[in-house]
Amino acid sequence: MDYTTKKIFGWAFILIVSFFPVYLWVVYGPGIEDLTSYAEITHSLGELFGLVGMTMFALTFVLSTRIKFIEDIFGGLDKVYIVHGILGGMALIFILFHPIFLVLKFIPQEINRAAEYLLPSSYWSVNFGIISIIGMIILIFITLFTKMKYNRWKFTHEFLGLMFALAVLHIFLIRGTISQDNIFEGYYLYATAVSIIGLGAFSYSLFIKDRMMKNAVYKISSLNQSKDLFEINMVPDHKPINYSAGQFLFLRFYNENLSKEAHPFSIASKSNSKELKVIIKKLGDFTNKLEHLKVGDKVFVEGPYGRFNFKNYKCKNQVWIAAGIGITPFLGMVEELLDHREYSVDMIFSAKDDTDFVGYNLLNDIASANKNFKFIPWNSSVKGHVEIKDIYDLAGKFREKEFFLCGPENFKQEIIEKLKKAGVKEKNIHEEAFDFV
Amino acid sequence: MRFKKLRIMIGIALFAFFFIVGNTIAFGHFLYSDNSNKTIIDTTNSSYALIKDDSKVNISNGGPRIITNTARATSSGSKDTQKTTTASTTTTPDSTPQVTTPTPTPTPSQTTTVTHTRRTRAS
Repeated sequence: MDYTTKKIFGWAFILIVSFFPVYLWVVYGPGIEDLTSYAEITHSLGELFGLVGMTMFALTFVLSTRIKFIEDIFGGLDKVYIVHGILGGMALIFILFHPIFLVLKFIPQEINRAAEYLLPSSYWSVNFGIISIIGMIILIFITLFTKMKYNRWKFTHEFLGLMFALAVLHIFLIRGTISQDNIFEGYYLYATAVSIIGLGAFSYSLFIKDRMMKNAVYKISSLNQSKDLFEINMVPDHKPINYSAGQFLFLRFYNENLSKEAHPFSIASKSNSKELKVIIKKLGDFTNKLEHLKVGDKVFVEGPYGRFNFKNYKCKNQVWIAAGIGITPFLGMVEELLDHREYSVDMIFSAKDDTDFVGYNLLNDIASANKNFKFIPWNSSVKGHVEIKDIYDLAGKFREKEFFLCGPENFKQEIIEKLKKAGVKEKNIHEEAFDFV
Repeated sequence: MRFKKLRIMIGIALFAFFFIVGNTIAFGHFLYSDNSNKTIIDTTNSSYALIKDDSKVNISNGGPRIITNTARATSSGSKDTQKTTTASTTTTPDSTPQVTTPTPTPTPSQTTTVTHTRRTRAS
């Protein structure tokens, strides 16, 4: 089963689980035919929006556990985090409409009651819900609409676990105080399951995962800095990890000048090479401080993650399109092509300047040594954007070809749209996400 | 930019949320001035009316009933009028309907507790 089909199954599973409360309400609750008034319709919608939102909220924690089988379903951890983001946003939308629908029945005739419903009161079961919603709004707004230092963002993002815990208190306590109707039989059983899944996954990510996972310890063996790039080579302290070229790792550098949180970086070396290489561009507060790294510094390695490798697909005619620092996952794969000459690969590497072609010499050398690998450096400040005609001129007909893309999000989306318009099927386009948000 | 459509949807949902919640609180809490002396009563058994307490309605001999929002929604003399209950019955929502006696005006929170009384299909 290819990753596109698996992804469809993955999304189908998530949506079925998320909307399970609706099924329970129809079968074991009052159901649609008992909705006889506007008040009952809006009230039921309010309850169901809340429960669907809570279920989605719980599943977002499961998706962030970095468990391997979830990665398999969605075709890589980068894709899992995208699903996590979409689901988190959907959860917020559903939860926002929970109180709105609940008070609609009071508006406009009894607007004072509606106001009382929305404001904090002596009922802590309601107050927990109010705090949880406000917290969710603030934390998701920070994630999607602001830019802050990664470690600060990560710290704030973890408070979503607290908001979920407060929402759990709300869904359990609300039945005994304010809302005494029986939404469906087995409500408490369902609420318990959702709570255990959400809180369990969150606790695992925050407290257990790092202790259970035996992070491989590496040491920096050599460092090269040029312009705004760092090339870091590492050797294992004890046991090496197994990885494929094109995958990525979470690295935690142990250096007094760097913060201790793990950051994701693409592997730039061949599969299972003894020396693990990453090439990092100065793009933010953390990467700017990498100049403090020294040879011999310890690095804790978590991973590998991702499924971005040419050998994962049977089709041996491939087109690789990279832009900027998005070349890094391709560098190890290009080296590996020397051992897999059955693959015919045409590559376009777009950069803004002639000095931005990372690994240019390596790419040229391999293109000379392997006649099945064609490489075109594309200076976008001179030639403009890569157009579909340029890809066609290099690779010929698109039928039965696999396309691999990595680079800035706008670049990728532009190329993907052009490829789709040219008739390339989505299942034949494989992209690597650099930024998860 | 990733999640462009999602950001737009969340933006719309947040706008709707703050618009409705903000206006409801503004009009219902800060601007609503005549809350304390209004009572919802059913004077005809088929409809409801809002009257002020100082209008001296005779409520002796079991007469006009205080009704809840649920009853109000179905107060046109149907089977569901049996659900009609007072604020004093809020802790036993599925209990036998009680004859209503005159009671003080229910507070908003008290009334809320009886609003959603419904039986499950299984029951």
